[in-house]
Amino acid sequence: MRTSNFFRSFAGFGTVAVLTLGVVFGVTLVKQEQDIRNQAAELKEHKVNVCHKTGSESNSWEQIEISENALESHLSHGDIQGNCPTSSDDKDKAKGENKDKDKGKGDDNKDNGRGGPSGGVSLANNVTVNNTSLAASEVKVETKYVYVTTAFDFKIAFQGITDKKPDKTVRVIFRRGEEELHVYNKVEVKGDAKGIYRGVIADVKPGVYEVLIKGDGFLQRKFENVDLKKGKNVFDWSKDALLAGDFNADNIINARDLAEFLSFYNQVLTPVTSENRDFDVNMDNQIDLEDLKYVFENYNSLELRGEE
Amino acid sequence: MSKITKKHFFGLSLLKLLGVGVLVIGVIAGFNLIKRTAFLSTSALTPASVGLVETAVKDPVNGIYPVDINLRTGTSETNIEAISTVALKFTVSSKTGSTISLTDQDGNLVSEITPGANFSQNSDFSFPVNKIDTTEKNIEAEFVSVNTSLNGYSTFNSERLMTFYVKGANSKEEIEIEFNKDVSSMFSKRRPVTNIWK
Repeated sequence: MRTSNFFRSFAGFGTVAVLTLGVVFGVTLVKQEQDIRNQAAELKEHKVNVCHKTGSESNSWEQIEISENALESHLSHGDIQGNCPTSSDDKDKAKGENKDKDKGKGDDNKDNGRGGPSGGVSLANNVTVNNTSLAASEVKVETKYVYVTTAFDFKIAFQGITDKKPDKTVRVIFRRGEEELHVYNKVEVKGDAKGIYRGVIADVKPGVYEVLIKGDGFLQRKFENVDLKKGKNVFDWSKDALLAGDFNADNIINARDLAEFLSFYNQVLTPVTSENRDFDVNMDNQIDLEDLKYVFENYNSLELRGEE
Repeated sequence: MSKITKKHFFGLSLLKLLGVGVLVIGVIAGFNLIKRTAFLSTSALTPASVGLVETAVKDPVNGIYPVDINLRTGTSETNIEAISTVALKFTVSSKTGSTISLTDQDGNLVSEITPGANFSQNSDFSFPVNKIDTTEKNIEAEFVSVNTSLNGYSTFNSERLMTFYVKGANSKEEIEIEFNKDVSSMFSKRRPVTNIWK
């Protein structure tokens, strides 16, 4: 009987030990897996520039860099996607435009680029003008808003897309010289029956710019001497399709892009997922050699660079 | 000896059943986790530098030197990586400064490199980039070979990727071939895409 009890106790002890070991082992494995996932997530994380609304009167806007994942929440708090404009330049010009008191009547353009009134605009829209003409003791800060009602309405095409396909997003940069004055990282563009995509960005500050447009998986195109005036500005650039093949978004088509494509090409017709969507060049919902054919059309030297 | 009541017996059995259930679930979960962790670790592993590109300058025929560029994607059956693309940029020059040119085997100037038969006759291979730029003293070549098969290409034997012919050299030793490793690569088929020719 004693022996039996001993064995029973021993077995019980053994079971508890096995269970404990199992739990410890399990926790370790889960931790390891989480570490690997975290590392992968860090590699994947994209950063975007945001003009952050601080709430402070002295310094109401601040340029910051955030994870793309946090973009939505920042925009909902009134932040503006893209770079803050250079304050002195904007303020000077805004003062001049203040006289016009043009509040955008008649401008019916919607901003599809998260850059318009709903999602934040170039800061030229809301410039604080300090009125210092009063005696020092009576100085009052008067806030006026300057509305600049410029709509940038553009059409572009993507190599390989010739009929109606789902909406896409592009990055649009307004540059003057070396300075990127406005950056819109996700401008929605809608395709028509011929595969021509149209996008609108409201309230870009008037002026002459170089405009750079880049789509995911495509090389960047540069359009020079783009003169934006108050009101609606329409540009049809659909004849110069964005070239397919820049899958790693470095604005260069090279062997790595081909390798990235082929790493997903593991079935004759590889179904499109959120992970490999950019490789479906012609947006027919499958990744196949037809997509690679477009890249081969462009790829004739070791490195093919997009326009900069 | 205490008498085991029905209730007690039922309780003990339930406890044992629960214990066995927990053990079984634990074992299944453990195996699953091991499998997933192993998979993730493999995916995260950078393939070893098992790729190699070698050059061989052969004896001249009628004063023209054949040059082979060979590659392998592994060292043995177990130490091998399937690849999808090979990109090469290299300079052919003369160590003594004599004027050399790239020709076919009959000595005619060429503007492209001839891929090796095992590659050119394999429909899985494409050569989207194949060009030669001749400057005063050097010859620069760019060559990209792409394998579009579902599984990629692998070999642990040295395979002839291309052959070109050099005219104007005075000896085998005079011919110098230098790869630009900044832009030359041999990319793995599997993800993460890795250059296995370091």
